[in-house]
This record gives sequence, C-alpha cells and structure tokens, in this order.
Amino acid sequence: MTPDKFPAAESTMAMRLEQFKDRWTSTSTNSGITQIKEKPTPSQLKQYELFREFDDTFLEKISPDISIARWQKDSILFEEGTYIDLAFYIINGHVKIYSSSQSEEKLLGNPIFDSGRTGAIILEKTEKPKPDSAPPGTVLLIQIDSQVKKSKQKSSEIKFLATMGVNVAFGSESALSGGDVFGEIGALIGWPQVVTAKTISDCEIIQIRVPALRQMKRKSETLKSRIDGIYKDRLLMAQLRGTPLFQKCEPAFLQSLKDKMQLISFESGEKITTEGDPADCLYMVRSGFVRLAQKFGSGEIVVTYLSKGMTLGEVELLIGNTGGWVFTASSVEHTELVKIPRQDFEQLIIKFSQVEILLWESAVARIKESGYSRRNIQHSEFVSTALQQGLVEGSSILVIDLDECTRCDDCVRACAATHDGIPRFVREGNKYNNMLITRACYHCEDPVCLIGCPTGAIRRARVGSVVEILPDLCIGCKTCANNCPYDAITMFETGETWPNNMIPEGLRGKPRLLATKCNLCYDTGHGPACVSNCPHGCAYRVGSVEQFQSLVTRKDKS
Amino acid sequence: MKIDFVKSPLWFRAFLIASVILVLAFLTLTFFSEVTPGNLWGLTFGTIATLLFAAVALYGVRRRTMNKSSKLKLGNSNTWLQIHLYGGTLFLLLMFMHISFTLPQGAFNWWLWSLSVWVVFSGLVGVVLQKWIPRLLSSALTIEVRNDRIDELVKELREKAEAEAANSPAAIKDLYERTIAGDMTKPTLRWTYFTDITGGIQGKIRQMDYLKQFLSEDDKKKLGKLEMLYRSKLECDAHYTLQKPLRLWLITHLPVSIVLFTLVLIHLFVVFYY
Repeated sequence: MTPDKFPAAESTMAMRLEQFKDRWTSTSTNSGITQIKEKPTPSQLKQYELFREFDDTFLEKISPDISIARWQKDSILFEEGTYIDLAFYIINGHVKIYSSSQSEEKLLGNPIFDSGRTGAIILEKTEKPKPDSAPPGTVLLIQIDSQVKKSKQKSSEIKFLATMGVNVAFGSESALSGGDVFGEIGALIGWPQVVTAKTISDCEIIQIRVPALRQMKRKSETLKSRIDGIYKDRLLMAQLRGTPLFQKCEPAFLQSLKDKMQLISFESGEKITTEGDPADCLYMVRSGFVRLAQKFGSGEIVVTYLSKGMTLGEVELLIGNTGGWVFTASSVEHTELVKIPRQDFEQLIIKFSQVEILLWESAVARIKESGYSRRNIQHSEFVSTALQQGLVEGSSILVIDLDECTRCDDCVRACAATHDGIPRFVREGNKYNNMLITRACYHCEDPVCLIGCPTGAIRRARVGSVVEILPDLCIGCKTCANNCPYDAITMFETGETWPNNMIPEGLRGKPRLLATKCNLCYDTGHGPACVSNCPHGCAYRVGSVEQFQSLVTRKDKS
Repeated sequence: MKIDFVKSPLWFRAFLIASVILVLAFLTLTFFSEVTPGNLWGLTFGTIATLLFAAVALYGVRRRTMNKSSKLKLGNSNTWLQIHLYGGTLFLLLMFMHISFTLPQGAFNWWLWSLSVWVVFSGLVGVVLQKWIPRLLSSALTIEVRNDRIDELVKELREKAEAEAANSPAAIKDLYERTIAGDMTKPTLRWTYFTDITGGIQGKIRQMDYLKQFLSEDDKKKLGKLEMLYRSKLECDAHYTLQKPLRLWLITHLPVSIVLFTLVLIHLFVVFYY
C-alpha cells in the first residue's frame, strides 16, 4: 500500500493539533474548546448540584466519561440533525439554542426512525401554540422564557432544557445559562438533535457521555424522574401519537394516560417478563429490541422480537385467563420501555374501540407467530439468528447468496477500487440458510461504535443512517472497532509511525493504524460498489429483517 | 441439488429469439443464393460476429475498471456478464453462418475456427462450473472460507489441534498422532469432494466416536473439540479442492480469448487490405 492511498500523517497531525481540544464535541469540526479537564475528581464534580447526590466511588467510576470544558464564544456545541452521545451541563456562560436550518415541513416530514413493522413515527407538531407563546410553525421543545430564566438563575435547582415552558419557533433563538442541562434526551434515546446549540459567551460546561449518563440515571431516582419527566412532558406525547396504536386517541386522554405511564429501562439480557408470572401491564418499546421466547420441551423457542412502537401484554390483558405472561421477554440491548398499568389499559380500551381493535390485531398476530414458531422451528431459529447477529439493528446489511457466489471476490475488489485501494469489508461472516451475512458495516439504528471515539472521526454522515469514518481525524485508537459487536470495523496498518509531536502523547512513535468501514459509497455518486460489481447478482443490501426473510423465502421457493 | 442454469429468463428469451431470427435469415438466404465468407451476406455475418466479439470482450475491461465503470454508471456487472455469455454464444453461431457451416480451409482459418470454438466452449464450461460448484460448496459445508485464507486457517487449526491433543490423555494423543496429525499438516486436494461433498468426513471421524465410549466426560469434551477442529480442517480441504477449478478454468478461457482477438484483428486486416 502506498502512502498516497490514505491521508498523510502530516495532514492528520495538522487537523489533530487543531481539533484535539474539541474531541469532546459532537462533531469535532470546530475548535471552540480552549481548555479541558478530563476525568474530574469526585470533589470537583461535587461542586455542582447535578453530582452531589452520588458517592465518591460512583463518581470515580463514571469520571472517564465526563469532562469539564471551557468553550469560547460563538462555538457550535452540536448541530440540528446530528446524533450526539453527550449531555451538557452549563456551569457558567450562555448557550443559544435555535432551529433554523430546516423548514418545518421538512423536519416534520422526516421520520425520526423508520420501522417497517410499526409504521414510521414522526416528530409531531406540538399542540396549538398558546397565544402568548411561540408563533405558528413551532417545533416541539424548548425555549427559555425570559421570566422563567430569571427565576431559574436565582434558584439552585437544576433545570433541563426540555423542561422549558414553550416552544422554539423556526428562525427564533433562545438562551440557556448556568445550571441548565441539554442534549440528554437525544443522547439517551439515540434521536437526532432538533436544534443547534451555540455558545454566545465564553462558557464552562460539564460534558457527560451516554455511558455515564445512563449509569447516573440508573443510580439516581431524582435524576431518572427528572429526565423521564422531561421525556414525558415533551416527547412522549409526540411518540405516542406517532404510533399506530394511539394515533386516533384524543390528546386529552393521552395526556391523562401519559401521567400514569412509567418509563423503565433494561440492559442487554435483562428479563422484562417471565412466562407464567402474573401479567399486570402493557409495555410499549420506545427504543431498543425485546426478544420474546416461550418454553418448548426442556428449553425455549424464540417467537419474535419487538422493536420501537410495538407492544407487549395485549394477549394477556385482552384474553385475561392466559395464566400470566405468555412470553418470557428479555432485552436484546439497552432498551427503554413505557409501562401502562392494567387499570389504565382497561380504561383505554373502554374509551377507544379503535385501540382495542388494533390491540386485538396485534394479539392475534402474536398468537399466530407463537403457533407458527412451535410448528416451524426454522422460524424460531431465524428470529433467534436475526437477534443474535444484529439483523434487527442494521439498516443496510450486505448479504451474499452462497449458492450463486463463485468466490471471485469482485465485491471486495470493487470496494477497494472505490476507496483508494483499501477494501472496507472482508467476504467473511456468519451463514444463515446459505446466505453469508458479511462483516460489512450494518449502519445500525443505534450505532454503538460512535460511543467513545476520542476525535469524533466516526459519525453519522447525515445521509440516511450512514455511519462513516473521517480518515483525516482517525488516530487508530480501535475504540470503534472494539465497540462494534459485528466486527465490521477493521484496523488498517498504514506502515507508518506517529510523529513525535502527535497528540495524545501515548501514540508517539507507535504504528499508525486507520479504522476503515463501509460507508455505503454514499460520497461516490453511485450505489454500493460491492452490489453493482457482483457479476452474478448475488450480493444484496437488506434494510430490515423482513427484507432478509423475503430474500431467504424467495431463494427457498426458486 | 437443483441448479438453475437460466438465472435471467429475459436474457435467455432474447438470446433464443435472436438465434431463431439469425437461423431463419440464414436458411432463407441459402434458399435463394449461396452464402460464402467473401460474398455480401457472408461478410455481413462476419462483420456482426466481429462486432459482437468486440462487445463481448468489453466485459473483461468492465471488470478491470470497476471504479470508473461505477462512476460513469455503465450498468451493473451482472448485465455485462449476461451480454458476455449470450453474446459470446451468438458470436459462434454467426461465425458458423459466416462460413456457411462448413469446415475452414487453410491453417490460419483453422486456427480461427478452432480457437473460436474453444473460447466459447471453455466459457460454457465455466458457466457450468460456476453454477455447480457454489451449490456443491454450500450444500453440506458448515464453514465458509476465502481461498487466500485457507493456508492460514489450516495452520491455526493444526496448532489448536496439537495443543488440544497434547493436553489430552494418551488414548486421544495416540489417535491424533496415528490418524489425524497427517491430515492436519496442510491443505489437501481430494478429488472425492467433487462426487461427495462431505468427502467421507463421517467415515474419517468414526474412530473418534468409537473411542468416546471409553472416555470420561471431561475427556469426551476434549475429543469433541478435537473432532470439531478436524472436521473444520476437512471442510477447508473441500473449499481448497472445489474453489480451485473456479479460478483455474479462466486460464483455459482468457489467454486463448486474447490470442483469438489478435487473430481476428489479423483476419480483418487481411480481408480489408487484400
């Protein structure tokens, strides 16, 4: 490999020197941080209200994911439409929040996430703006009412961005100051930001990464209830009204239901329900995936899985005498759920026959799936494989039909030819029904590879769900490659060593590695080269489990 | 094992229609007059054959300029391959029509004729291999391995197996040294895989199954691991054996095609110059 095939170390060095201080920003594309303190000590953190309730051991544990940064005036903290993995707590200074780059129609028309199984859930327009608040054409979230702001500044209570009273109008601005927290909902739920945040004075800001934020939320009931409160107040209504189930419900009823709903979260592998235990609620998935299994012989079979917007408990609550939970439900990854108690569920179906019909439809489908899985173990195996191998997570997975593939490797060669001689995947992976699920990037809905990149080199490319790595910024730390559960990121050896003025110092004199992964050829003006250059037409990009299943079924029939 | 030789029925239908039209045209022409390589119709068939041959040869160029072809949006490789296959076969038909389905005269023409037949038939052999072997590979093998990684993988398997055998009781160690170690040394070509994809793997590990009944639970597990490694190695051999012809048949096709291309150019020069 010749050096001209990847960015020269000098180019990266220059960018690194410029941007090192910005490694805690969402995109690392500006240089607004003038001073940064990483891994603050528990005593430093305890100076701030947000951290006072936590003990020293806990703070010590989460401190690697926290930094205290001094931002200069007019720096962009994050931009509208970007995915970030940080929440911000302002110590002092002012941050401007605004939404102006997108038209309202465009923003409201784009699904936040696209789920073929549940229907797209889109960001809802808010209720009619109050006469004294924002003008027509406002988006959900955020504005600081100057009076609210003034009173807040006097109070020591922490304020969260989304708790602010009214909405931000397109083209309008609002400001946050000391004691405010923002960015946390998008970071926790994996939604793109709907506003841009920019410093309007020099600011001192505590930046908390998602892993620390999640731990803090689990540890502190107060923090959990605050964040959940914000979510309930501002986003849950929109999310509920975006699901087919609640679309027809009156806002007033949803409002009352919302107050009774509990927001709960589970880590990977945790049990949500156990088959046979009393069923007393309905669950709705708001992020992540849930695996549903049933006892079968001495083991269990996987019946199906639930994704965003889908419900669990309708079979048990509607039929009534199922002998408790019909399924053992467990979380496939970090999963957030909404829990609706039985009593409220009963009121819901009494009031809205449409909801009951939809739930019955869902219940019938679930029972059918259960029966089908029992009769056809292959189906259960398929669902299980889809969950294990992340097919549920990916938005564009490269699969190769091994019955047709002549192992010519033209797909890999095409990839290399498109990307300066460095292929971004290898023709290896797991097999299902003679389909090879390659180790090319899945472009996950919840890309965990983004978490922890010290330079922001890996990011959403803002083209669909494409995740890309900027070679100019990559320092080859392997964090993304280690985070990727599907081995889809490979470390390429450039044959160079980092120069002696490299930052961070730890890399100086060490071999220069470069993380590479598929970017769906989004920047080339054509579709994925691997697919278009397969002479036998046996390479496919699948965007969902359903697409994969239909591919397998079509193959079986032919 | 069902092999679908016609993946794109549309292309196949187009090919059949073109062939029928050409044959009917030829029959009609021969009904009214003679077709010879030098007369109007003979030259027409020859010219179409040459143009088709040139178009068919572009597939090779397309494969070697993937980046440019993608950027210029020259269509996907699969379409080019279909043109290559069906166009190549039509070329042979046109070449036969050009010489009125007679045998060639003169050494040069014999070379042209034989190489044309060779190139087309070697191509068709390639089609058969490319339809048959992938199905064979995926029909019973549990592992999928890239050809260039087989050596590395076999080495890894051997090292693991040796370590496993070294930590096992004498009976397992002895079995490994007597019957397995030899097979684990390097990738092995075994022609039996062409007729039996499992290559008698079950037969080869029967001794291990027999030995299991005399072992403790722990040792059974050790033998189980060894068995898995051995099985993987034998599957690597199957890939090694079967992926070879997928690559090697091209040697029978591509260099001869280049020679044919040169001869066609000389033929054109001779025809137009003289």
